[in-house]
Amino acid sequence: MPKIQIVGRSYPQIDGMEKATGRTRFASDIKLAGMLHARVLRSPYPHARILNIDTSRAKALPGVKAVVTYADTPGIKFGPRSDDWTIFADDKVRFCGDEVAAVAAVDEDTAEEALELIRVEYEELPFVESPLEALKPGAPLVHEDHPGNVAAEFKVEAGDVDRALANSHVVCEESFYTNQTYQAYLEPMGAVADVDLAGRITLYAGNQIPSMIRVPYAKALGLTLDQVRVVLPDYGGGFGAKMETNTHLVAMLLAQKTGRPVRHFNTRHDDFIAGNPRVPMYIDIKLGADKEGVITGKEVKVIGDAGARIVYSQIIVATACYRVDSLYRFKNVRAKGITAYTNTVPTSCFRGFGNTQATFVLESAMDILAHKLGMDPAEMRVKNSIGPDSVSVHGWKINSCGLKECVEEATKMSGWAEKKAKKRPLKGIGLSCCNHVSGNRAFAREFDGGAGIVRIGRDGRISVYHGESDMGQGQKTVYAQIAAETLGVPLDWVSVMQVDTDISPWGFGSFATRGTLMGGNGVLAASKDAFIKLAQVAADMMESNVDDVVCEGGRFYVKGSPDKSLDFKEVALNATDSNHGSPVMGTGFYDPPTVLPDPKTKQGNISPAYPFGCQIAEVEVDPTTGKVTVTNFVAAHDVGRAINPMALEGQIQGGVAQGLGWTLMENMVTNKGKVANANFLDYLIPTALDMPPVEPKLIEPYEPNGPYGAKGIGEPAINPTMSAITNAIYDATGVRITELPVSPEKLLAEMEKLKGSHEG
Amino acid sequence: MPTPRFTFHQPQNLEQALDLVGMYRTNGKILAGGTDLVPKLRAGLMDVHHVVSLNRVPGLNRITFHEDDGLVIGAGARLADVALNPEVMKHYPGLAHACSVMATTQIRNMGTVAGNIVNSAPSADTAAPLLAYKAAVILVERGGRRHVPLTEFFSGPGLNVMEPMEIMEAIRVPSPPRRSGSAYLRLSARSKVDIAAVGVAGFLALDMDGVIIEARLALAAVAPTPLRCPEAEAMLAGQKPDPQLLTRAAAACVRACRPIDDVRATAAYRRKMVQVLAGRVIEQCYQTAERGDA
Ligand SMILES: Cc1cc2nc3c(=O)[nH]c(=O)nc-3n(C[C@H](O)[C@H](O)[C@H](O)COP(=O)(O)OP(=O)(O)OC[C@H]3O[C@@H](n4cnc5c(N)ncnc54)[C@H](O)[C@@H]3O)c2cc1C
Repeated sequence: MPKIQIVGRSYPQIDGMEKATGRTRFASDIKLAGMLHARVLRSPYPHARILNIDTSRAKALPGVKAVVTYADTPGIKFGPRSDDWTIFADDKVRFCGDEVAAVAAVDEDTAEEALELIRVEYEELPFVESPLEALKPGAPLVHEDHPGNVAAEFKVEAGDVDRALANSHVVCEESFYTNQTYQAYLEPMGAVADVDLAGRITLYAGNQIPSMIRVPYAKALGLTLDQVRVVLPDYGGGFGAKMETNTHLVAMLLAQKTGRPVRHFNTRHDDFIAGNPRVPMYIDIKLGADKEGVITGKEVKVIGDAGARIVYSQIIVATACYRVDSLYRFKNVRAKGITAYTNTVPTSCFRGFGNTQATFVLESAMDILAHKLGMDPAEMRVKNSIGPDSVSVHGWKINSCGLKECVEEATKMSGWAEKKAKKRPLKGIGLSCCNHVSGNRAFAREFDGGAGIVRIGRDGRISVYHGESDMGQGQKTVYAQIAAETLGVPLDWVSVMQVDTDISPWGFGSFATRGTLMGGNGVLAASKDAFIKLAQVAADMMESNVDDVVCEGGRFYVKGSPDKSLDFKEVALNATDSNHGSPVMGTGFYDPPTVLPDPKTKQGNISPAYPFGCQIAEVEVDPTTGKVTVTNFVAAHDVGRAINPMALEGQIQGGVAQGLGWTLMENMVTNKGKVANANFLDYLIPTALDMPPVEPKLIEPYEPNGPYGAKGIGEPAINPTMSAITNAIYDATGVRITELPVSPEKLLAEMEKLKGSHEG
Repeated sequence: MPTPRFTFHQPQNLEQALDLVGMYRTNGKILAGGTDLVPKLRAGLMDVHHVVSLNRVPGLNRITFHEDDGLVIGAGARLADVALNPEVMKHYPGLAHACSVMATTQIRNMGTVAGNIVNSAPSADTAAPLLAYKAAVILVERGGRRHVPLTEFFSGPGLNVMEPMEIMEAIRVPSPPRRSGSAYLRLSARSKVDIAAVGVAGFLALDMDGVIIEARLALAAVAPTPLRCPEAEAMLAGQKPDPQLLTRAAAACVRACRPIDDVRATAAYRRKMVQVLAGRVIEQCYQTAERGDA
């Protein structure tokens, strides 16, 4: 084989220039002839019975083409992993922002005006804002068919936790809370829907699961799967939020009613109040260790807030219960998770998928134990670190694992040992590790994997088709690199095609840090298939054996004699001509060795590979204002073999920025059932000016299940950030942060309490 | 909310502008940088049919300084221009600082000091330093002109004493005496690009022995309007600062404020931060005043 040339090299995103120069047409730029514009009327109350809706005046407004409510829908209950959704509120609204009615009109202004003409009579009902309140006896019910507001429960147990904790030398017992945060992608959710005369819908929607999203949508509209086609334009970010949403269904329903294309995008305000923010969680942990700092046992109880309907919150709570158990060599673990309904915005996926919340808690507890034992927190991590070629307490098979190397590199880069030894007042350094997955079998249940199609045209142009979703993270570039590497051609000969469910393979999509490994393996398999087919033609042309033919830099030659070579494009031309126009088509798939967890024991193996990481934060605290400044940050991540180091580094820096925002400022505030800060003036995210230098380091053990040895980075990039910062705050001030975010006010109060207790 | 529709007027001189403002006094609004006005229009917070832009009126963007007359900031002067003006930086560092840290680069390039004052937000960043500098505003209307000291200008959140036919022409700031010092400090949840949760401005003038002749302190974001702190000022006058005096004067500032709880901070935290920032501001003013070159 020729040596690896394109994989492992830093390339700017192949679509980066188009985006940077404003040429990319994003989802919200799509305009179809005759297109109507939709607006949604949302509930002003967190919980109310709908007594009457009068749409007559709105319908009479010139320019209005349709006004729809629940009565205009098939009335089918549906949901991604539940059946608690309706397209519009049925008999009652369940959160402020719940969809009540929608208008399609010739322009947005007319649609907006029409909304103001819809009269809705409500009877306000008592509501619950917090999952703890919701679970109390007698709390108002969000869904009458879910007594106690329990949306889901999850239990997992392995080993003997009670004995392990009883026999521990030290035990940390602490309660944590992680708040609600908003994904704050650049482009709000939305879609353009188009219906043909046969009633078949084409949905142009920026979303992370273009194939899967069709299933609940078809059900909701009473259609068969083949009647819903999804086309995936370029779109402005997702971070987990852009999965199923009524925002899309509103456009689809209105397109059906009017027979015209309908565009519906959330305003930023609507996106805040009715998007899919992070699942807030109350997490209680008991973590024990022996004298040497070896973990003995762990018990957690998680209460997660689903909001008014389930998007993916119950799987996220389950993830928070046990995914982090593959970070260390746990033997005795027990977890219980409850997902509760409340009258608040439905919550869902956000980079980290519950493992962020759990990592914040576990890595805070590890820090507490290390201090109790008088042990270096870094040493304690290394001591417990799960190793390569090992099996976790839940049966997960860890192949490659560079966790120890991550800790070693991060501590070296940050000067950890010296800084720990020479403690300076109000300055602190903190460390946190993480693990994650590259795919989630518990999520993709029917089958798991990835598939690709590689088409080589008569002109030699290579088109790669996949079913995943590039929301800006760089997936297209990675797929182009894999295809170019496998075929032996320059990178710019490859186009990565828009996902169109009429053409592309079925892919599960972009979540669970699975794009590179699953989709990449699919593209790799298809590229190999295409290569063999084309190499056969080249072999025939060179009168040689196909096994002896290689391609490098766009030229085929027989091993050992590179000077006698054939142009790839000439071979492609020949191949197509001899097939009377049929292009060379490579198809292939990847069947990962994952195991669906046993419903009872939860033993399984949810991912073919597991990435790891270690981040170290340095902070400075102002003792009079409580303000925290993060002054330096290093992030070492085991990503398997890097396919595009530049893109990986970008992901790491972005993850740290998002985690820093969560730790220090991001907070959706709900007041009397309403989001009180549904705009970027009051909901703060970090700007470039808030960021310290972030130094990424790639640790690259070869992952046997990854394409060219690669794993993934999307979610691990944020998982350890919160606890790295809060552990540094502890180092600086002695204050243990158990609730996010850390406002200056909160930290100042805690510092004063601490001072009081020392003096008193 | 449908996009608001209005007629956009671009008068070529102040007279035309005054005519238009008089004509549309019930349903018109003046536009300078538009960074407060446009978001409010879009949010449907006002019923406006006519927008009168001051951006074509010549001379409005002037920034002039004379030792005797002090500083004149024309109503069209952009925040960024004020922030970078050498005279403002030298003689009014508190104002220069406010104009350079508030909002964002883009907003500072569009927004004006006059707009910030007329908008009269409790958290207006230029208000506290201008109060501390004893600024006055010049208001003109058809056939009239009046000077209003800034201390008498604000009347509530978003409210002030201006009449609907009036235009703010300029802001006048007296020249600071030789041995004086001034400063502005603000605190917000995000260190950059955020509305202030607390702002404190100060001005101190000293005699040759370092005794404070005159003290002026002003607060923003902690009451329905930006305001001065007469009690604290009186405490400082005739004194040389020591740590105890600083603490007491800062405590008097805390007594002057009437903060509320909002998403940025609680009232209790705001009070605490007034204490912290006021102490720092007084100290900083004193140090620069002692150097005597201001
Ligand atoms: C993203 C963002 C961040 C911001 N951050 C801050 C911040 O940190 N601190 C802060 O204090 N402000 C902030 N602001 C508010 C705003 O930018 C400032 O108040 C700015 O100074 C307003 O000036 P302008 O020229 O844009 O005013 P405009 O919007 O043009 O006018 C504001 C008001 O004053 C009236 N007006 C303007 N000029 C005159 C005049 N000459 N005579 C009579 N009436 C007049 C207008 O009719 C309007 O009612 C922010 C705004 C945005 C959008």
